[in-house]
Amino acid sequence: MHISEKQLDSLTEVLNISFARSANDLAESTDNQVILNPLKVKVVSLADVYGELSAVTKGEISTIHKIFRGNIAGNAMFVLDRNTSFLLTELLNGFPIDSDYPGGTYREVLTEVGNIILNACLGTFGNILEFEISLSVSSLYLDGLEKLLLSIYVDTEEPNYTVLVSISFKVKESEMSGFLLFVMGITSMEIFLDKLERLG
Amino acid sequence: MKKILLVDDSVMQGRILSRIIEESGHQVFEVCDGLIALDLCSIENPQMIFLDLLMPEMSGQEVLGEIKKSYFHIAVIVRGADMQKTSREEITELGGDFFLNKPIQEEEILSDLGTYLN
Repeated sequence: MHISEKQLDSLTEVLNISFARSANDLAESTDNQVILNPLKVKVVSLADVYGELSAVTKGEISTIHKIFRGNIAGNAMFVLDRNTSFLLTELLNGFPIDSDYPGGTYREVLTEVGNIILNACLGTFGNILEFEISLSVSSLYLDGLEKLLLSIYVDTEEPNYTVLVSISFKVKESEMSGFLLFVMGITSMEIFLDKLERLG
Repeated sequence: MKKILLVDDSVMQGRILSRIIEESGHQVFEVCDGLIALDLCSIENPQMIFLDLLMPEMSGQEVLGEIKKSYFHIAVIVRGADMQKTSREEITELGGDFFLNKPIQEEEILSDLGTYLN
């Protein structure tokens, strides 16, 4: 899929605004400052996501997953490697969590964090691009990358593409990095890119 | 006609902002990098700067700090979507004159031009 320089520029800007909104909401609900770094954005085929993520993520990963429907439809995911997910949860929760037995608190905090981030991102997409989007509840997955990719619900009758966003931020002096993924079929992706093209 | 410097790594944002400011009768200098912005301050001596907060290489905070060290008289309007109280306080401490929320609202830009250029 070809994405023009203008579309990529607009996409990056919309995502920067969306992620900043996510950080605002996260900071407000956890009473911690979240310091942001600029995002790195690319659009790849769904088949290429494994190669992109496996190059920088080893072992088990934590994913908060949401399905969105409306003018555009697809899957949105907030992805952290296992160690980062525990670090973030501990920092926000204020006490250590046994990483060998991740229990209810870990799951609750991480699901809530993912929920805040994905809601703010998709909500900002909707506002800026004037889309009506409804969101499913968030689901947390702790698994290997292969299983995560198999959990993505896609329409197999058309090619699927992913907006792959490398994120990095700082909470309480700890640097963290992860990914946001927005997986869409080509029909939704073309509507999305067309709206971006018309911005400005 | 006043000289306005736009610092934003997004071509789209720069283009929209540039159009609004030029239509209000001012001269615009548009750059996508903090270091070039610092050079342009010494060459063109703008009256006002619109500065993006989240940029690669040199962040908006770093650029703001450097500008206010040498050019305290230039009004700097910082633009971003980060609305955290602590982030806003940092901008004020660095000497930022105003914080403008993204995305762009034309009436806010025109209001800032009126306020800070008069």
